[in-house]
Amino acid sequence: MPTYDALQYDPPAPMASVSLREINGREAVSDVILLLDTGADITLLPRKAVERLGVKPVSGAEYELLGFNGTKTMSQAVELDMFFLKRAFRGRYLITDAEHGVLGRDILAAVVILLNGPGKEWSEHHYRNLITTTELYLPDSCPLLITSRSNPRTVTYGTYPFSLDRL
Amino acid sequence: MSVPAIEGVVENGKIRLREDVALPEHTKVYVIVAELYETPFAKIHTPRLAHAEQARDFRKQVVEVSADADL
Repeated sequence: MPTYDALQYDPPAPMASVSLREINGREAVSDVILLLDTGADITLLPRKAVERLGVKPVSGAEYELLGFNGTKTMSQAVELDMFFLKRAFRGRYLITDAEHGVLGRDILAAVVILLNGPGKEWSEHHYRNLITTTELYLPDSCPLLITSRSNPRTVTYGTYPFSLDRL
Repeated sequence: MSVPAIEGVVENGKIRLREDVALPEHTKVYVIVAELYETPFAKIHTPRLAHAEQARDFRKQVVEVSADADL
């Protein structure tokens, strides 16, 4: 179960362990620790992990970043596969000199995550395969049978509009 | 009063000026450390792109992988 880091962060912060692989390569670097940061536009990978993988920065590709306190910094970019929640995210990432990286919204916007702060753990939330309310146009209190494409034997009874936490 | 700027480098903890520059003994100098004023490389919290339009450079191709995929 993915956990929070209560040693370096107060309050504790959700952390992810990802793997990196060169595009079309075979070698991978595992257990790369990233802070889940919904305020971050993009994902930053620790330089040490990228160098261990042997991936070189994209020539001429540097990006100017702004920190939450207005700090400006420049970052080099690499292109690789990042494995997270049983998905490979192929594309461009920035590099940080910090020990831990940052998992930003370029990745977080593609997944559904449930943060359990009191329990200091987080998990992927699996209602993404269900029909969402935005795809329905029904009168209030309309009875529904809700099932999942990934697990069609699971049926939930409800009425429209239903609460996501019932799924 | 004109203030000349003379380039030099730090070597073994001492500042060495260009070879063609000789200053009188006890000349008062001011040292500006140029490289410290360059934008540092990334070590930043909650980063945002300074140029938001660059976000398209970071769109990802997402592929589902099996649980027993060999990484």
